Amino acid sequence: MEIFEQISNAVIEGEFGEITDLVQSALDQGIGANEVIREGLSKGMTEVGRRFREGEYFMPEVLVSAKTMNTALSILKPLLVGDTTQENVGTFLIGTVKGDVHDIGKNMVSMMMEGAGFRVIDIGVDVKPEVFVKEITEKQPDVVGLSALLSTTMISQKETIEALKEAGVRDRVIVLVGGAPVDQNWANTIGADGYAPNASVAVEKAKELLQRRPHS
Amino acid sequence: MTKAMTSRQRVQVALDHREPDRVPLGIWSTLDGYKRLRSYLGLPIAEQYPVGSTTWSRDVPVEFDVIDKLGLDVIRVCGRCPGGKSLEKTPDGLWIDEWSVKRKLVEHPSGTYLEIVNPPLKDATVDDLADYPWPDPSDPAVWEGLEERVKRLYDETDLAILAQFGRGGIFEQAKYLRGYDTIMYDMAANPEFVIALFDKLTEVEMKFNEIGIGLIGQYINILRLSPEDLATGDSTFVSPKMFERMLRPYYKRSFSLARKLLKEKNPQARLQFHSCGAVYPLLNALIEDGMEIFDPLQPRVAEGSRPARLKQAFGDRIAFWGGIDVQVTLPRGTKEEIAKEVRTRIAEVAPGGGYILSSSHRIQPDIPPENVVAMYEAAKEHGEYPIKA
Repeated sequence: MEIFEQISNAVIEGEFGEITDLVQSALDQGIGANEVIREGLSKGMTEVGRRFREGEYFMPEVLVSAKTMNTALSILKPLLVGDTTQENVGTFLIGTVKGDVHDIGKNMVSMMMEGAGFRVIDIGVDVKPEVFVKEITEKQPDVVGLSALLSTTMISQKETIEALKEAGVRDRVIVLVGGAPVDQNWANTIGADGYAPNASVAVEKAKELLQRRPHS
Repeated sequence: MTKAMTSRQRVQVALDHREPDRVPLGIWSTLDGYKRLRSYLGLPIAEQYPVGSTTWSRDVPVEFDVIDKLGLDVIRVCGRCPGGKSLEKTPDGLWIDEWSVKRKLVEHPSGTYLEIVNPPLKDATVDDLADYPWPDPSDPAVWEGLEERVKRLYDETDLAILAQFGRGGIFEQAKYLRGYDTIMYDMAANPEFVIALFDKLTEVEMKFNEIGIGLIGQYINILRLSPEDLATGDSTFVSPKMFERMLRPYYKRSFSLARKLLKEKNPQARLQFHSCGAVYPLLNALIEDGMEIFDPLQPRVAEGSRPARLKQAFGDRIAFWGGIDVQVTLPRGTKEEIAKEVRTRIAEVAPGGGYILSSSHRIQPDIPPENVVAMYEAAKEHGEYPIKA
């Protein structure tokens, strides 16, 4: 349908000034909010993710696309309340680890995850291991993201995973780690399930690991 | 065998793209890393240190006693904070710098960093910039005693002198004033504001350099412009196209004035520019615009921007600073691993001159001082010219 393509293009091109009218027009045509998100916004953000991954887009373009998506979501989300047909790829909980207050990487991952249809719970920065344990126990996410920008704080990712083990919740979730100094080797060392070098790959990784997970 | 050179000669020869007696050694440190190093070397620790450009890790001028004890070749000098103050603590427990950027002290497993809270220009418009309390480069407090101090270093030591006068730069300072994500967003969606802000920041940077060079340009070997970060470890922050359009004109302006004034005072002095990360796609433009030394070589960035590649691509046009990894090797490596990396880096970058060896960024709080010493020891052992492969 043409309107989906227009919405998806508006997200890709970051036309936040036009998105409100486009979304309204879709709703006026009787299209459900859920469908607008799935067929319009998510498709757009998937393309934004691809362009970012392949070096066509950089942070400024992604941020403007994300703003466009969020403008649309602020109209659509209230309409989803009580919508039982809502598709949910999974729940993703993310925080920046203890001692680290940097949130851009975390926010980029959150935006991309949301764009891909995950329900995102962002528990903020400088998050202590025991807070991760508590939030995971309460919110029961499928995937958990531990973000660290600094070489001095990546050790907190290790501590967090250890705390999850001790609390007996480690095996209930898929743990992804990311951040400037982090690599696959570090992810293996500390027993994470996956590593992603950027926000777009994080989405792919989360989906892939979720699919491989045995259904309980 | 070549006759031993003084530090100043060694650095100058290397910057002239010739081979000195051995690879010259530089240093750059955070305040926490510096205190650890001083304590390890058995040197007294002052209650307070003047911090240079007041970024998150607090740049500290490394004193002569440390340089002397470690046998290094370059000493760093800078002016004082405008307003006669240093980083100040506000009643709400935050630290405020000369740009009115507030930071809180955040503890991490091996020390502390100062992290920005509520960037002061986050919601500002172009009109707000006119009334903003910009740091004043012409404030005499900045320059008080500098000429005397540096002349003494020049006369009484044989060290090469690196000076930085600017206190924040352009893109980097814009990130601190506006917030990282906001300025990145502005670059795509709000160019009028970006242009107004970069114009102002470039003017401040240029004024600091103009006055500083006027005072001590004749004594310095390296003029370091305010550090910028143009890339993450994986890629540039903005596309090369956007860099060309929205950032390069400012660097061009700033480089060209600094270079002109510097060479008038000392034709042999060289212009150093800093950016972390995977900057390969931008280096040619920066070189065309006047950069002569690139800082820092970082071995753990994306492959295209690693030391060997940069040397091969640009080694005949610019010199390099840095090279020994602060992310893994220095904080967690053994003495042997550190020596191995030093040997590798020297083999990659030192032939033909044009290399000053140092850590790949400031010495961070989590780097054991004995590893810093091991790095310099290895560099002296393996850095003699001609370099053995």
